[in-house]
Amino acid sequence: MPNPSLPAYLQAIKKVFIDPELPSDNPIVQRVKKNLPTATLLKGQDPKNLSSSEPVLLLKKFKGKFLRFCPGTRFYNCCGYKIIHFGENCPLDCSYCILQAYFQDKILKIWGNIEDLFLELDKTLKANPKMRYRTGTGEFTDSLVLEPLTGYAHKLLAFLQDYPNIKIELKSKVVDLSWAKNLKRIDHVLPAWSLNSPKIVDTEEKLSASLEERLKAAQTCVQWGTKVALHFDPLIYYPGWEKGYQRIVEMIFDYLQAKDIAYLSLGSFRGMPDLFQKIAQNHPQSKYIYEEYVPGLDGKLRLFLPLRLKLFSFLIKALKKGGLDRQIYYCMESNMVWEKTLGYTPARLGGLDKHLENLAFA
Amino acid sequence: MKEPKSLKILSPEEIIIDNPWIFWKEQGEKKFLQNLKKMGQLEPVLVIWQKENYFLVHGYKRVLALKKLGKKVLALEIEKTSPKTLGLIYFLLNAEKRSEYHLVKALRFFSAADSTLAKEEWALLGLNPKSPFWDHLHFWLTLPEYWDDLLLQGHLEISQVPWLSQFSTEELEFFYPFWQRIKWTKSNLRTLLTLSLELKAKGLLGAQLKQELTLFLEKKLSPQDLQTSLLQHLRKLRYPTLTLAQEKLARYLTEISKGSGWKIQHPYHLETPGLILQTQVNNAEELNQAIQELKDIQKQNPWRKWEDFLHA
Repeated sequence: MPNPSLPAYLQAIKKVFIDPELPSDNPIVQRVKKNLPTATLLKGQDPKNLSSSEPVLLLKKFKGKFLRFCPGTRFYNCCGYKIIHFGENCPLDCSYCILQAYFQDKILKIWGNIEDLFLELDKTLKANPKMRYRTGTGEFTDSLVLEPLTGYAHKLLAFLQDYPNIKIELKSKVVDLSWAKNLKRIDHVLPAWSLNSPKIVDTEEKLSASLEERLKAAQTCVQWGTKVALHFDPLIYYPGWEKGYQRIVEMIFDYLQAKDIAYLSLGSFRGMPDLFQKIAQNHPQSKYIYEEYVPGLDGKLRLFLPLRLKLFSFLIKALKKGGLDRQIYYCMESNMVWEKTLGYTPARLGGLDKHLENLAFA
Repeated sequence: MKEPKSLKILSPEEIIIDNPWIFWKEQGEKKFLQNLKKMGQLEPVLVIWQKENYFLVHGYKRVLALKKLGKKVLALEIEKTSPKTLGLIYFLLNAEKRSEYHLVKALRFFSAADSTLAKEEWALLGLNPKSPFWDHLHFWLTLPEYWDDLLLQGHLEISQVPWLSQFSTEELEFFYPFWQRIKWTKSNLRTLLTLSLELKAKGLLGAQLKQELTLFLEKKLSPQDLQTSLLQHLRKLRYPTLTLAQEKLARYLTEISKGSGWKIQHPYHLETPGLILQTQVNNAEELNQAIQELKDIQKQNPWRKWEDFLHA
């Protein structure tokens, strides 16, 4: 019997491939085995030979650098966030997800050698004790979507609770607060949720938690004494977008106050042309890709600037009305966009990375 | 291949040549006729004897030419066999004809009743039933036979099937005259297909648009003008805000450089206010003049109306 407490997209995992270089007493392997008792465990086999697109999980010994810079480009302002790279891909299957064009396959991967991650983090954090690290795990996968299987976030946060110079953002579209269990402190954690208009959540996300659930979870974290981060990325232009985005902004302030939000990002939907082709192929019902997208300076297709400015100005007006101000920032936008919609550029804030670091560690 | 039975000398009228397995019927050109006249028939044609008649298997062009020259035909009779095998023999003996048009014609024959080929037989034809090209060819076979002429004329290619297959039969019939009338450049054709499919996805490929596009056909435009004006029209519908802003900006940039040798361009879709100013000078005097013209452009401040372009 599959584990009924797991969400359906995790129960659907019938095969787990285990890297033979991971010892059998590896804590992630043990935990996955326990939580997926009916899955077939395949040690040493290559999941790339799978002919079907059935959901499988690969527990791998990762040999690269775990802590790395977010892959921003020089043409637009990047937030300088550092990624804790612990896995790749996501089972939520959101239509707009950049990962479908970013990675060659759809195999869910988790780096099982968590002790190597801890060694690297310990070395880096102790070598630079005066440097503050604003990090997160939600770049190449959802920070919490595999948490019921692996307990990875909980292990990571438990390990990092004795390091004062790191903040870990858990960016997610699901609700799982088990990471907080038995921690001595949680002020090194910045729980974060991606939000979107209710219509986009209904039609383009499908497997994610409802907006109400996400905001309620954010409210719980605030009650525990931590701030939260919110992300509107990707903002999607579609007929009726004003109504949808107005509604989600109202919902935010039904659950949270501006002071509870460390920062909130805005990023319009963008991607290399390949992503648009993948969306047309994998999600033929998704029509937003046929709005007016043009090549940006980095080669990615972006919503034509006048439309983007409309979208951003609308959101900023609504968010400011709710009390947010300097917490609002753009993910990968030009100084021109900052200036025209917010009235200043990241330079006025002392640089975007520094500004966000101050907000995260406040 | 079936065993040969015997060589015959036949009159062209004795041979039935319009057989379904001869799917690439071609008239011999003048040179072919001259060569045959000069050298004589060096190779026999292939025939079968069936129902008291000789049926041609291979050598269509030669039989027609010999008939024209009033000569007898040297024919090798082979054992009679199924139409499918005769088609395979014909295909293999004419293997130099491998255009997409020829393949489609052959497949139309083999796809007909009781001509289904086995995997090994498809391999003989150089086709892999698991390849995307195979799927594309089979989509083409769903189109009416007169569409094959578009392949023959090079107006469409099998490689365009992934786009064509996204249109309904009715939509394809609508576009047929646009492809029949002129040969589109590859890039324009790709743009036409992409824009039309994207407009279809947006629900805009309806009766009104079809009516508008038909008007372009009725205008008797040159092939180049037809392509340009039709694509402009589709682009305006697909990207209304962008095309409007670009037209406005292009008019403005032309106006501020009017009378000068400078060309001002903005290829960045407003993502930056960057402008490219270009001119050509051949000597010091022209350079001085270009500098003066540039100063005049500077006085007008090309960015003074930039805000207008940013607000859709």
